[in-house]
Amino acid sequence: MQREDVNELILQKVDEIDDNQVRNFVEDILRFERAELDKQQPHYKSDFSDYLQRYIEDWESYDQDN
Amino acid sequence: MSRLEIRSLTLENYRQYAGENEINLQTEGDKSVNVIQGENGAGKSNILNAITLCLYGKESHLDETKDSELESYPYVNRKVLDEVGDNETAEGRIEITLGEDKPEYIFSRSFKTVKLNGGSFSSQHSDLQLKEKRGGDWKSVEHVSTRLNQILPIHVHQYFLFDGERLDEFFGEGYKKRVKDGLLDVSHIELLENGIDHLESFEGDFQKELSDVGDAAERKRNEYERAKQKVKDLEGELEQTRTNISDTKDHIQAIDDKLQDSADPEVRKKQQRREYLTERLADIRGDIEEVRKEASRELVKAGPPLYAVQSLEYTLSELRELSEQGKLPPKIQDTFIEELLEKGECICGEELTEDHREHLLSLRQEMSTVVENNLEGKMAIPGLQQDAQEDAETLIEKRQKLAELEDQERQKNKELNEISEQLKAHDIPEDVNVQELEKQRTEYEDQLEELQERKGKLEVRIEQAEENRDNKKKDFNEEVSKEEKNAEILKKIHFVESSRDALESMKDDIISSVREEIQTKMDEYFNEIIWKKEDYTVLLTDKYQVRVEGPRNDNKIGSLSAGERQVLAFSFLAALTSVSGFNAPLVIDTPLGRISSTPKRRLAQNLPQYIDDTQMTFLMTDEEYTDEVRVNMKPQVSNEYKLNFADEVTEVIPYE
Repeated sequence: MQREDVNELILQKVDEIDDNQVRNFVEDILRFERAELDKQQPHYKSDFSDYLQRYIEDWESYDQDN
Repeated sequence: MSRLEIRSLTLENYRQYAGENEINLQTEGDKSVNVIQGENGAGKSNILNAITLCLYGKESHLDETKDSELESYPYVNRKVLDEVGDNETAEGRIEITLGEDKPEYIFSRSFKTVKLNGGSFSSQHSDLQLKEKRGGDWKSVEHVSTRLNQILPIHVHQYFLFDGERLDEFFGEGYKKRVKDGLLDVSHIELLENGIDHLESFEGDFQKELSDVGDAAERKRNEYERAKQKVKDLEGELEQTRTNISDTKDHIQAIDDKLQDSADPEVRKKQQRREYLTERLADIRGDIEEVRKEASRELVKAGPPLYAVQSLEYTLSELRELSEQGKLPPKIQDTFIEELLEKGECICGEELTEDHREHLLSLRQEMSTVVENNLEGKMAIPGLQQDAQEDAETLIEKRQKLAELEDQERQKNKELNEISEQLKAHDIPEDVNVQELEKQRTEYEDQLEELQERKGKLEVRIEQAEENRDNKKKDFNEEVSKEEKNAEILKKIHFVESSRDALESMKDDIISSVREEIQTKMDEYFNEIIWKKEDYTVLLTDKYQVRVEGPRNDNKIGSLSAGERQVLAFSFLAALTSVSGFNAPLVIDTPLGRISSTPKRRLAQNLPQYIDDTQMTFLMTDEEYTDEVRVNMKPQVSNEYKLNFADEVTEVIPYE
């Protein structure tokens, strides 16, 4: 995601997410969506799975909540 | 300063432009404006058309006049076509060079026109070609539309390439959708919505993976699904109710506008009085709510001492009596005990044992408490009684204020009902059927009351349903995580849910802040350009309704002139561009067309400031680009051209 390609308000909001893993995951999702914006039905599932694998291991909030 | 600019536009054999015409549009420093002046028919609008045809393959200005089979307007210049025979083809192209400090992209599209027998034509255009400068070389771009959408997205092009004269239609029927679309488009909300949708479906796959969970978990899953569905249904109902409320308010507003236009001054006076009373009533209701809250806070504060007033009086009198009788233990100086402990020796000379020390320490603690309680009691109780007295007085004041406000509310309601009854009895024949309108208005008011009550009830039901859904979800998760494999999947589901919630909350926050910012800027721009003796307040509600309120808080949007509506649309588009930070060059055909002289001058002068650091190319008629407007715009203009049209051909010549 080129920073200038996305509305600054969105970028600010992403920066405000406290949870590091969720923030990084959301950034990856938005980068993907920005790149695929003009496609009718982008194939997102395999990319999303890769992003998830990257962050889920170190995600501690769930263990704290449960 | 750098801004994305159309650095040059080349028209070859397109419409009025025979041969190759390159128009330099590169601006310098603060001079961000280009002006191309020409009379009607000279080819101004076709400059805008050329840009949209080149980039998006359509001529936005001619869409509604075009015959898809046999165009009445051939792409190729008529003079050029005169020189080809029947069934022969003539060609042309449009080229746009785009870049910030230097040329970065060259977009080009060629076209051809076949001259058919019988004097008709058939035109076609090729695909868009794009070259991008990389490391000093121009390279062809393979996925042109993807790149174009990143630079100048097609779905927002109407906000930077448009016909100013048609802007007065912007706030016509169905404008709320246009406002909503504009706001969502520039905020990149589509990006968030796509992310939310995809994450929902992604999460759904994990839900399916939670198979073979056993009968007990399956039952809980079904209960959870039902609870989820219930929330969705209620939310749908609430949304529909909100839409109905908004529509009903619009109906009432439309009736109010008609009554305001009545030929009978008495009806107009009553309508104005009603608008005033309605506003006052809203203020009074706001005050009532505030005073109710304050009274509740006072009650919480004053309650305990008021209920305990007799006990306090009794305690105080007992303390005083015991004190007078000398029955209260005397104060033993702390320093005396401290001294004993420090010396470690009694006044009789005996050494203190560990037991003695413990006794002294406990005595010090006990005595200080007893004495302090006695003293504090004697001191504090009158203070508490005083506070209770003052709190009670404040509470009474608040109650009185509340009663006064409720009385005012009744009075205003009574007067409003009287106005309504008088209007229903209005039997003077005129163009506006006052009786019938007032009858309809009462029905809409009743409907509005019912809808608002329904909305309140639905909100409560949704809260309960959400609580139930969360409990069911917890039960299901507990049951299903008994299997280790499922626990892992649940963790993933929870992670995806947290990410989706983050996106949902971003979406809500952004829409709300963009709306507020657009409202502020629209209000500022509109008032600066229109400038009337009394300020107008421009409001953009959360339902995308635009209100232009005069001093009586009545919505003037229905009675604005065409020029005022155009200024309002300009204010909206300028606010939209400014808020979005979207860096696209603006090309506006007839920007000042319907606007009267003073706002015309102000708009020409102020627009470049409102839309900071953006290249603007104005295609203006002689009536628009008057000497006065030209003088006002001069400090901001980089290039000025005149279009000279003669014998089917337009020449673009620099302004003298």
